[in-house]
Amino acid sequence: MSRSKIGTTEAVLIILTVIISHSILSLPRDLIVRTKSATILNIIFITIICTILALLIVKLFKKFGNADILDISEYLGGKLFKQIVGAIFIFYYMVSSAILLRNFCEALGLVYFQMTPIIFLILLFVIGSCISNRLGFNVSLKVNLLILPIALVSIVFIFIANFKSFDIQKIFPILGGGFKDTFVTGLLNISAFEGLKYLYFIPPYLKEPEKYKKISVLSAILTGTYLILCVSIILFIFPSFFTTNEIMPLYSAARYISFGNFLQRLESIFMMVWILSFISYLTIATKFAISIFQKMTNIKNTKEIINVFGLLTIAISMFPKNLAVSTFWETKIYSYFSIAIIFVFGISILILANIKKRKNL
Amino acid sequence: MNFGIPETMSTERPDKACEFLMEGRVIIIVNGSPYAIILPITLIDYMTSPEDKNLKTNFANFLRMLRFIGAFLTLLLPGLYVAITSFHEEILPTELLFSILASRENVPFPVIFEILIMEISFELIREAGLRVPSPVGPTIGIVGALVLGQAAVSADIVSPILIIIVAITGIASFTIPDFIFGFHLRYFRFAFILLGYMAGFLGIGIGLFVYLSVLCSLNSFGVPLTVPIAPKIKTEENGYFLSPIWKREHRASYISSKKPNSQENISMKWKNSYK
Repeated sequence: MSRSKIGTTEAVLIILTVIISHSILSLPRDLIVRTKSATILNIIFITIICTILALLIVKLFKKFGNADILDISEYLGGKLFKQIVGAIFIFYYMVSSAILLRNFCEALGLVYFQMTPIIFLILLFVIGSCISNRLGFNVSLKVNLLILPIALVSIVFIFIANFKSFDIQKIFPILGGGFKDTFVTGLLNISAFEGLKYLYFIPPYLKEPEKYKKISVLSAILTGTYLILCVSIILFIFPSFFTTNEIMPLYSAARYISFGNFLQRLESIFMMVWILSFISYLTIATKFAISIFQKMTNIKNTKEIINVFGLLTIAISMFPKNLAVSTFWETKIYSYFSIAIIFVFGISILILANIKKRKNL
Repeated sequence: MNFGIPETMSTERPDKACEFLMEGRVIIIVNGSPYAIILPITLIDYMTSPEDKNLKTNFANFLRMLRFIGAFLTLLLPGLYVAITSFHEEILPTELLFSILASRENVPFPVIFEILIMEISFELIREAGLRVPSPVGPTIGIVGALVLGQAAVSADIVSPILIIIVAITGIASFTIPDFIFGFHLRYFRFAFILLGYMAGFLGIGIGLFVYLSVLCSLNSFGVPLTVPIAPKIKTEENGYFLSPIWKREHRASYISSKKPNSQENISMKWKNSYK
């Protein structure tokens, strides 16, 4: 991967790809299941926490210039530690994108392709992603720049068009299952901000490194705002106990949109936009995994291993036996995994490296 | 990989060549060739015509918007039709769906075969119209489009709705000012027809992503083809919309020409005199 530079808008959109791809699957439903009618309050709360954590990450990176977490882990524990950290992050990037891919394809299969084996749907995404990856790092970012705004607008459109179906009363009781559920157990919803994982790897690529702080804060706030929109759509339309049965709650919400007699079922148009944004997410996630691998192994030409990573994505996504298993992975294991890697493991490395730096000074 | 997307522009029109020269582009004229080659070029340049600058700004921008819609329809409309009729019927209002189903009732072919017949026929008519002597050309167009289309519908070879789709696609393809880029779109619509038939919106979505990726990967002599949208660049001139006539003194910043302005700042000088 060439060391192409990323602008501020591009960097923010990279972080937002994750939330958009996850939110079209089960994310809003999972958040609502955890915190019931208090979900909006909970998201405001975790947005504040995540903004603080993003600021903390920025502060911890400050002493290391344009280094990423791999360089910092090498400084902290030597080359072996760098390899371990790299392997953990590659594993995380690949597993998270593969699980989301599997669930997205399962949902697509359920809605449109009941007779098609799931592997064919997965293959289509992986082929598209591999072709885009072979064209270069800048290409994925440019395409993301074109697609993501449309995906964001699609959610805003669903929110506005469904306004007449909203029952604002569903926000009550305002504390949902109680204070503990909203602010203590509800802290698990922090996994929705997994897009912040890119903060650990983008510093070397930034065109204007001084805007790293702006990128971090803006991405956390935009992610929170986007989540509030998504959750509001689901919460105000469906009863909170009903949403547990929906595979793609936003897709179901899109089915409620109608304008007169002519435009009554627009959900497949949204699906096409989401397919575009999902493949964009897959491409960027694979790209970053390859970038980490390149940094670990010092290989010059990454084009040859793009297909290997594509095959790896297919293999991991085919690992769950059926929809129930893959949904379990996404709703249960995935969120704990994200919290452990992004907010515990990543920040711990940065804190320890900062302590070492201070001692050395 | 460039999918046949042109990375330079060729023109026989001196006014077009001069306009691009004024904008800081390079013009290559080769002895013996009637075409001047313009470079570097961007995607937006394919959608502009020299006449635009003679019109009022808002009319010119309206035309530019129409051309982009035309390009979208040329590339995707037949594919979307195939995808909707094969996989996403729910998107159509019930009355229209019944009407389409009724019109296709007596057609013995699958939709893919039907649309390929019509699209290839349309291309044949267009090519024949170009090759025959000019007085006969329009006659072939009329005979081909009206008589053949009507006869095909009467014989239940194709459905009337498909004639409308093919006609809109054909008309939309004529709105693209650059012939080579228009040709590229016409050529690639067949890929989207096949993708739409294979996997509906999923196929078109993946195809569109790959197409956009290829488009974004192309550079015309160092200038990205999709500039100033991707990568996002602030530029005074040559963005998506034409700026008002008194603001057209600047050259596009992504060209990096030696002189940032195409002419001196001569418009609205009275504004400065009051300062």
